[in-house]
Amino acid sequence: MSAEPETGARADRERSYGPDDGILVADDLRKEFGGLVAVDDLSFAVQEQEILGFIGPNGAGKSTTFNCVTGTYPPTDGTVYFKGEDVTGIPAHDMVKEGMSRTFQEFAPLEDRPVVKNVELALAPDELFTLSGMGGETEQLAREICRRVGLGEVMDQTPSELPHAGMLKLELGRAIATQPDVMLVDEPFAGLSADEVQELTEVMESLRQHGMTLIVVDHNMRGLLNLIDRAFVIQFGSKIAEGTPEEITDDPEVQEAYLGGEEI
Amino acid sequence: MATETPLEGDVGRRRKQAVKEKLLLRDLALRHRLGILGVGLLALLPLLAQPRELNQFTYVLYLMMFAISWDVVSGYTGQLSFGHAFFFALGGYGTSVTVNQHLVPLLDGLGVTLGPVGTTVVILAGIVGGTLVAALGGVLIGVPALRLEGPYLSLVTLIAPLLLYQSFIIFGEELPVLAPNGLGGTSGLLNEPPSFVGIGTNAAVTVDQLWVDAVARYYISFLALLIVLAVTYGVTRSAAGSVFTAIREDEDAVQSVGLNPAKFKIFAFVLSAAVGGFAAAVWMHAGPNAYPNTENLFGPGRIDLSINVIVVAVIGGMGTIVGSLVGALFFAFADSVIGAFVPELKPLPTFLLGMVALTFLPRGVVPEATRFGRRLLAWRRGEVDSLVERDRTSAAKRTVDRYREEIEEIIGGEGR
Ligand SMILES: Nc1ncnc2c1ncn2[C@@H]1O[C@H](COP(=O)(O)OP(=O)(O)O)[C@@H](O)[C@H]1O
Ligand SMILES: [Mg+2]
Repeated sequence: MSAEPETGARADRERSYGPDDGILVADDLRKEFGGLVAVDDLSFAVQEQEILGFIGPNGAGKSTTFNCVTGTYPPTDGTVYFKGEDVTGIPAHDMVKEGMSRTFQEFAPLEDRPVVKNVELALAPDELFTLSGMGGETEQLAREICRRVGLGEVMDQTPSELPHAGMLKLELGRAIATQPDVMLVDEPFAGLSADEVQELTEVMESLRQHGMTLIVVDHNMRGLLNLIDRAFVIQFGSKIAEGTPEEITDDPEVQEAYLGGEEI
Repeated sequence: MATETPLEGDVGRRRKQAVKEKLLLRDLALRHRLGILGVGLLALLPLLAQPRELNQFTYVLYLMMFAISWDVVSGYTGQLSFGHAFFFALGGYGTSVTVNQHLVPLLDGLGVTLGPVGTTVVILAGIVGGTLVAALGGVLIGVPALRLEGPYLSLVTLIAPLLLYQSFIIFGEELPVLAPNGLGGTSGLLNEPPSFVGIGTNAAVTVDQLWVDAVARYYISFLALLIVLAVTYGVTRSAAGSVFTAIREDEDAVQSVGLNPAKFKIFAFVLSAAVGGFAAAVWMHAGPNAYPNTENLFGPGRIDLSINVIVVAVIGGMGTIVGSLVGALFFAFADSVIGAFVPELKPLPTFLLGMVALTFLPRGVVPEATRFGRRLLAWRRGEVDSLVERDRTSAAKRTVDRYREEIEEIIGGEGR
């Protein structure tokens, strides 16, 4: 695929990326489900400590792109580079160990244990014989993480007792607990109030201040304007625009993609 | 690392310190003290019992270990096994064959006569061998478990011991290289392996009184139980234990935080198999009625023992380890009462007991008692109890629910 000479159309559409173009690079990423092309030769690069907005209407292929990048699904074609290395198709748990974690759009907390223990699991070493967990220091760390994402008051409750925003914070807390360098956050703002959006925005901004790189997915830009440095807009699995939030909102193709639907 | 942790520095040292403090039993929760008291009482039991009763009770210790073996994999990771006797048989036959068909002939050939120490060493080597054979069996079941949905896996675990049973018959006369004298068919290995302590000549230490024999067997078995408890407690109370239970809840969640579920699943199977194999191996050298035959290691109806350990673990409380101790006591009591009054119905009443327990005490005796105890303590302190114990659904219920979902998926249940 990559060996094929660049046709005019393709060179026009995207340029090829190499392993060192960013901390996380996708090059010609493609995912097909049967006949459906969910991700259509998508290429992008994320720089260290950047907050990238990954935007597109529902069904555009955002979650699928994430699933391919993080090893949840193997991509049909294309390459993923992380920290300069080819990590295409490695298992999800290894990807986390490489330093990339993610949140899920559909929450799946462990209902059998309190919130803090959900976070604590993410701190468990991937080792069979370990003293970890015996001394209580991982619990202490898990509590600290809960406080930082705003779950301080509710960390001893079970996840089913949490409101929607609380679930989201739990997802975030679990992802943070794996100590990632890059974090992919899938639709964090859906269903949140303005205050809650603000609170989460601050959490993510502070993570960036501590050196983390973030990709934040949403189906529009409303909640993202104050947060992201750069936006990347896709539709039908392909990029349609890329730039600062201002550039994006003025882009005619983007406006057309959202025509008849909601505002960008 | 991108995120800073509030716990820089010598985490390892503090961790060891904390473990040490725990081992010193300082500020131990009431239920742990009660647990230790219970184990202490078990240690004193020989002072109270007659030799014959004691021998019966020694068997209960093995039932405890067998149930713990099941609990490690099925209670903790939720992968239901209906054929744990597979591992018991591997361990029991493993040590018997290792000792009688390999080590003893080998030493005889070399012209070595074994004294008490030598025989003990040979027996220990046999136990190690039996444990390893069982652990290998754990890999054999654990690897397919990675690709199979719960109900299919259960089918495999159900069939595995039956196949093993058949192979004992097929290779009754000889199993080349592995068991030169064969596996004895349905009647089992007639050539009993030596005991640690026994009345006849076939023992490392020969004694001449029945009660000394019974007490010695009891304590050796008790020691084995302590070893099993230490190992399984250590693993399940470490972080690995919470990964096990997380696998029971949601494998994807485990994977998404950087833990490899496959690794932990296989480990659970191998640990479980090794524990069960070890217990059966010790039984062959120290237990009462220590004959390596199919009736002992599979149960009279080929699946009885496999079912009994499930009943025991469920009565006591799945996913707790200690539940198996309590469950075995209940089970043995019920079994002996039933045996005394309506022996012809065996084993149905004990199976029934398991169902009753599942219905009325779905959490099992130990978690239920812990809950009750906590409420009581809170009440004495004058607290409102809602804060003390939140209702969390039991391990048994969650496992069964998930299992039902998987079955519905397989048969294409309309309810979805
Ligand atoms: N596992 C799957 N199997 C089949 N089709 C899928 C699967 N996941 C996603 N799709 C399809 O791929 C397309 C993109 O979906 P998705 O990535 O979830 O979009 P987004 O996250 O942008 O809303 C949709 O048409 C969706 O139906
Ligand atoms: Mg999505």
